[in-house]
Amino acid sequence: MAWCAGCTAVDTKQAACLQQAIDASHKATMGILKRANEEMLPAQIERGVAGTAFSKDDLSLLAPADVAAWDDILSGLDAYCAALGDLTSGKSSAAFTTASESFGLKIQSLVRTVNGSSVSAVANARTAIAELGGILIKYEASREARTIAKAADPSFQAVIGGLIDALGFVGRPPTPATHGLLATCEVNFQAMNAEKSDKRFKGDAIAGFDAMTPAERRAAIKDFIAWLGVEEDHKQLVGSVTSLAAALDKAAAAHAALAQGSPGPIDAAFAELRAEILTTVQICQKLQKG
Amino acid sequence: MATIGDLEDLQDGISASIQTLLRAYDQCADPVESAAILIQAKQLAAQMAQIETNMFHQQSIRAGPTVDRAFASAKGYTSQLKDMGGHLDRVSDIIATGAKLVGVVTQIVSWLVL
Repeated sequence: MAWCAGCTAVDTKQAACLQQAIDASHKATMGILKRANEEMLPAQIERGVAGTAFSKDDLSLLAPADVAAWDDILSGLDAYCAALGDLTSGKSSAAFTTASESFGLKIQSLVRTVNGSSVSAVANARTAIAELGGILIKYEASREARTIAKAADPSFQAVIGGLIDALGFVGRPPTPATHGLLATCEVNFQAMNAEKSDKRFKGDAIAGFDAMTPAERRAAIKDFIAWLGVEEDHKQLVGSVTSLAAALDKAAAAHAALAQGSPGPIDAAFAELRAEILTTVQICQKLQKG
Repeated sequence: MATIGDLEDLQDGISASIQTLLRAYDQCADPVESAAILIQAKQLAAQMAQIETNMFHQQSIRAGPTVDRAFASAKGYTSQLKDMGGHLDRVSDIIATGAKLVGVVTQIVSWLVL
């Protein structure tokens, strides 16, 4: 067991907090990727019109296999965090040994599934998850969560960093890039709706309303209401992706602090993470309602 | 080799070019020119989406002189359009450069097949 003066053991609440954060982020990620595909449908139609053929694959911005690969990888991260939680929950040695081997093998099994799909989008994250599975088995004998977190931290950071990058953010704290998923959704929304936002409903008002007949006014108001709904949905998507990137960054920081083992940074990192969990859960709820 | 980084740079350029086109569209009172600008903005946005589909899949493009020339051309046009953001009255120049950019990006996305 690796131990150091001034280092602190991972407690049950921290492990549970990390598990909760990753579980919520997993759900939010899947909801956001689905919503991004839905919002991009008009752009996909435009894209299809310009092409020479159109199939089911052309209906999605993000290929279903790529989205499923991230789902599998985040399931692996869920399993790793559950194993950490199990370590700190005071279960008997025999129970932990069984759980540890089970989680380790489960992660490795997930990786085989992802490998089998021959999806290369998540190559780095996939490798990192494989390493997490191996670490759980390798360090099972130590039964010390911080030792495992320290060994697992590079892999944990690689998975989270890969996901933040895939969402279209750069740097730490994550800031929106002018490339990637978020930027693509943003420019497509702007271009596809420019006629409404810049002409018909510029400044949140109906242009030329005074000159319209009553029937035209009625139709224009209906269009205007529909537009406000579309605009609100888009703002919600952008806000959700931005909040998710921030939450993922906090989860990575909390795990890094656990790996380091210094009490002060751990307390600070987990205080921030706890605050983010509520936001992430709210994202999931909004996306489910939407 | 057109790496993921090259594709990200291309998206950065397209994104900036679309902003110039949309600002020109916002200010343009001529219906014919407005329509031309809007069509280009939509075409470029759709092409950016095509690139994103492939980037999310981490697909790069095999290198070659033709590929290199296309990326260099796209970079030149996006740079020109970015500069034109300060001269939105030059609508005909914006439309002409936008058309060239759409053309070269059409060529690039044709090499991106999942």
